[in-house]
Amino acid sequence: MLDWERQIIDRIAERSPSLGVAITPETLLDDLGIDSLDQIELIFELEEHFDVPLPYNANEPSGEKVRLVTVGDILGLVADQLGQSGAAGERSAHHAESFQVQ
Amino acid sequence: MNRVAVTGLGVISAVGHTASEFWHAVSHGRSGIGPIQSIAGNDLEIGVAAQVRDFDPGEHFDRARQAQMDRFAQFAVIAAREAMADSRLVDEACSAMRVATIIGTSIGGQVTQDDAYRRLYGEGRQRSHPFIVPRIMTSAPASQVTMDLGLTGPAYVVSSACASAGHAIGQAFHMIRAGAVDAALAGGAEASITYGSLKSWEALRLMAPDTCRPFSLDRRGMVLGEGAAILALEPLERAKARGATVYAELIGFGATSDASDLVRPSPEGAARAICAALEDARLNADEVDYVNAHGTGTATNDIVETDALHRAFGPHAPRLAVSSTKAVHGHALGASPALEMVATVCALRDGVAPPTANYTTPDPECDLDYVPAEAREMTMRVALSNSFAFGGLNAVLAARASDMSV
Repeated sequence: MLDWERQIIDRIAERSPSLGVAITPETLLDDLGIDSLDQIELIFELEEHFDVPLPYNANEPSGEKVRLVTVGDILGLVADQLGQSGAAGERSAHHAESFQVQ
Repeated sequence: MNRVAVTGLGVISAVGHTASEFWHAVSHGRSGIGPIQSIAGNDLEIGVAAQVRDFDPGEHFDRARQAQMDRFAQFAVIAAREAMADSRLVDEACSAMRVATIIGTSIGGQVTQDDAYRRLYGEGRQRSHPFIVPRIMTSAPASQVTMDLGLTGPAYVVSSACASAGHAIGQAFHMIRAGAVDAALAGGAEASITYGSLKSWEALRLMAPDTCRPFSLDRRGMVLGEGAAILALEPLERAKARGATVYAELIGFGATSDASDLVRPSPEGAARAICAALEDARLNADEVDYVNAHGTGTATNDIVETDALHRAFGPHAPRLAVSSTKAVHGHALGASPALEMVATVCALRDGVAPPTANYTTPDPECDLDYVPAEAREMTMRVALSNSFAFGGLNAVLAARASDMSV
């Protein structure tokens, strides 16, 4: 598994309330307890972490719709963007600012 | 019409994270006003506020829930949980569908807004956090409380500046009295102490640099506070039948508007609100023993409110015990009326008028009995709580001591 894939899996694992579930690209996000609101927060975190836009709109027409059902779908979404920016596997992760509650 | 009982209290404030801690500080005149903490900004003229201290959201909410809630919504849920646990409102006789949740707030998720816009405009950040909208929305306390406690009756937020929670409690009171709902959680929540809001309040030139001294000759203005307070309300008959603790009975609500000045209160509008509460409660003026004043500590409010009390109570005014508890908990804007109603209800329960803390010197233009410095044990059958907000929006609540021993 590539370094950037491991970073994504780790972030998914952190926000999943399901303990002890082995996470593979085939794992369903629903099975990890990650609902739609969690998904968009995760997308935001990944955008911050990799500094790339991740095009995802839950309301896109079905023909163009990016579907996020499995962990692999998220990996694919990021892979597409990293590939386009020419930095797949080489971009060094920088700390994303977490959203702090005072 | 139902009589309405207060059967549960919940508070988080500058002087305590529970209702009993809060009342202990209020009744002892122990002020929670102090140097502002954790707000960056070297050019702030205001150095003091009544902030909720030693607050760790992680003690109350897991990471996922914290991310979805601004500070003010967190406060609302914490206070609501306490009030619900205190009252045990929902049971086989009262379903969650028949419980109203009405919460007052004046300005919504300021902490979130300040941080989000600082990043967007100040730092030029390209993307904003997805939860800014549900965190900022002024209705968040109603949503979060109902989600947290599984309440499915009418729920919404009421906003009328510094009278917000007064109108919220008044609404809930009328709904229960009319039988529209079987119970309610009503109160207020506010957490607007940010760099941006402090600079805005400074510009109004009515903030005290030292502390809040309502009605005192040496008062120098208001001090911002924050927090939440929630009261559990239900029909008195039901409360008695199920053996619930009855803190006090809500008996009247008066609401008026000044139609006058945007920031300066009108003694006539305020007096009409007091009279409206008395009329709603079927009370004569001379039946009132204690008034929890709006008492912000500004030069103007305290004089105008004194004038209004004279107009509404006539010869009985000098016999009233009047105190402002903002000297202790600060001015928590939309949440203040709820904090003050908790204080009023506890005052009725204990027969103790809380003092006006920080009071040093009588002002000839404020000539009533403001219970200076020390609490006073007294016969207290009926009490009022005043809120006179910016924009001339007035809310006055009336309560009576419970006829049941607690």
